[in-house]
Amino acid sequence: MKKAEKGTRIKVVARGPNKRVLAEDSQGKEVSRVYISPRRVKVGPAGEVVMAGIGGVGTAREHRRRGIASRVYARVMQEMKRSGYSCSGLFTGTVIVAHRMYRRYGFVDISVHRTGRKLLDPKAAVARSFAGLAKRPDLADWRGVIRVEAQPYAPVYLRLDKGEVKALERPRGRVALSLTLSDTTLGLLTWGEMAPEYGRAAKLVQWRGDGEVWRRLERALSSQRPCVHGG
Amino acid sequence: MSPAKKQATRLRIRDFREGDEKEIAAIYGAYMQGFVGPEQLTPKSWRDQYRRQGWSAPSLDADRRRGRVAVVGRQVVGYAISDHAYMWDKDTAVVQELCAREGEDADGIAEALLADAEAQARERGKLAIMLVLSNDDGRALRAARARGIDAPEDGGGVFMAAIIDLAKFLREIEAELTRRLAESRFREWEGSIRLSSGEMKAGLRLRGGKARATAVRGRPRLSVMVHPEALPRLMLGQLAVGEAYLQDWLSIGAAHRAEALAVLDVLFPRAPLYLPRAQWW
Repeated sequence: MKKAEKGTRIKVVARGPNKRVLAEDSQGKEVSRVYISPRRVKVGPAGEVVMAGIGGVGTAREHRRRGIASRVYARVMQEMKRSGYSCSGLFTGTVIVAHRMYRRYGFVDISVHRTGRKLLDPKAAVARSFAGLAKRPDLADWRGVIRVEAQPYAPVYLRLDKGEVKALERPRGRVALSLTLSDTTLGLLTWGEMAPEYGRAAKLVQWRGDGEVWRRLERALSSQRPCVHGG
Repeated sequence: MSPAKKQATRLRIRDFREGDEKEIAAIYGAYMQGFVGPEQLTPKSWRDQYRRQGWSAPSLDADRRRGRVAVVGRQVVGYAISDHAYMWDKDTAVVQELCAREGEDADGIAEALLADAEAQARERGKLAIMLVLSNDDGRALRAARARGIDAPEDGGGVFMAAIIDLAKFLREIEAELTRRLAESRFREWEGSIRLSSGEMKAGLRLRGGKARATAVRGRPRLSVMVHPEALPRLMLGQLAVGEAYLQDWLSIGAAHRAEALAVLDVLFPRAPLYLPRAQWW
């Protein structure tokens, strides 16, 4: 059940053809906003529509789940009609909470993008993706070697030493944990876009070795997952 | 030696220079011709787009090497624009635009530009290269594959759209509807079409080979009801009329249903969609 937020006002600020619909709290502080700007979109060789481009959407963390974004959005829909737009478009993620709200206002998925990525220096890139993780409380006091095979790239051996990460030229000493996953899955896990439990259950991540080290890594990955993304 | 191979041996890639925008805009226009989505750009508007500071990248004026141009002799045959300061990930270079002139070796040109973007990224100490691809852009997909760029089908990002005023939308695309009609076997077809979706109502009148968006009074020759979830996809060419009909997202009232479906298929065909990364908002 959403708690109603008292004293929140919805305002529209116009700057030329661009508009900002915002919510202010009782102290006049901006707590939620959406930008509307005209965008020309081609529909076939002889057709072009002016679309209301939605962007810059966000609600302050402490004001979420109180129905503010929905009130802002209801006003956005009114403003777009008042401005004479025939259609509207926006870019978002399919796994974020806003996606459901957009659907409620009549937006539908038009096309999903494919993001292609190639590691130019796999060793340095894999080491960099572990740099933040190694400093997490669950790994910060751990020392040892982890083998990471981010397919399609060759395995990389990383030495974690009290919060620091170093890529090794060749494996030295005992390998405590060996991970096999795709480069895409590694990216999603380390950016906090995928929960490690999901990766394991979906057979996207395979591990061998010391179970305690795996559990530490899993906790470190979970702790940097924001759970709810903005957008 | 084949003409394509001959061209490949003469292909050179250099930094963007003032004046290139004329040929670039022509290549862009030809490349985007069949797509729904990209803005129509002139040499000036293309150049202006990159004069502005991007929301993540410096302008082309501040960093001229962001723009790379493929030439054969003095002729521009393709170009690529990269962003070397991508949002939170400063270790990644993002190729924002990749276009090659249509021709026998267009795939080879796109691949060479992508290889060059990769070399530039390495030179700048980037650890990864990224490319946002449309499922409908076969050339960029092939070039990415050839360069070993892994592109899973669902990148998690999506473009969403809503139709706010159907009658106005049809008025805006009247010229395109006329073009579609003129190029079809139904150019002689005359009559009115009433379209409704949720609370929206709109009409089209087809006469003398022209399509006009207008209110329909009386009994139309063809009446169409579209499920609100299907409407934006149908209007933007992302859902075929036949598919919508079979899925029960579209129902028709007409004396000759098969003919009515064929007329609608001409007016609202399935079309490839491409939204260049540089034009995102």
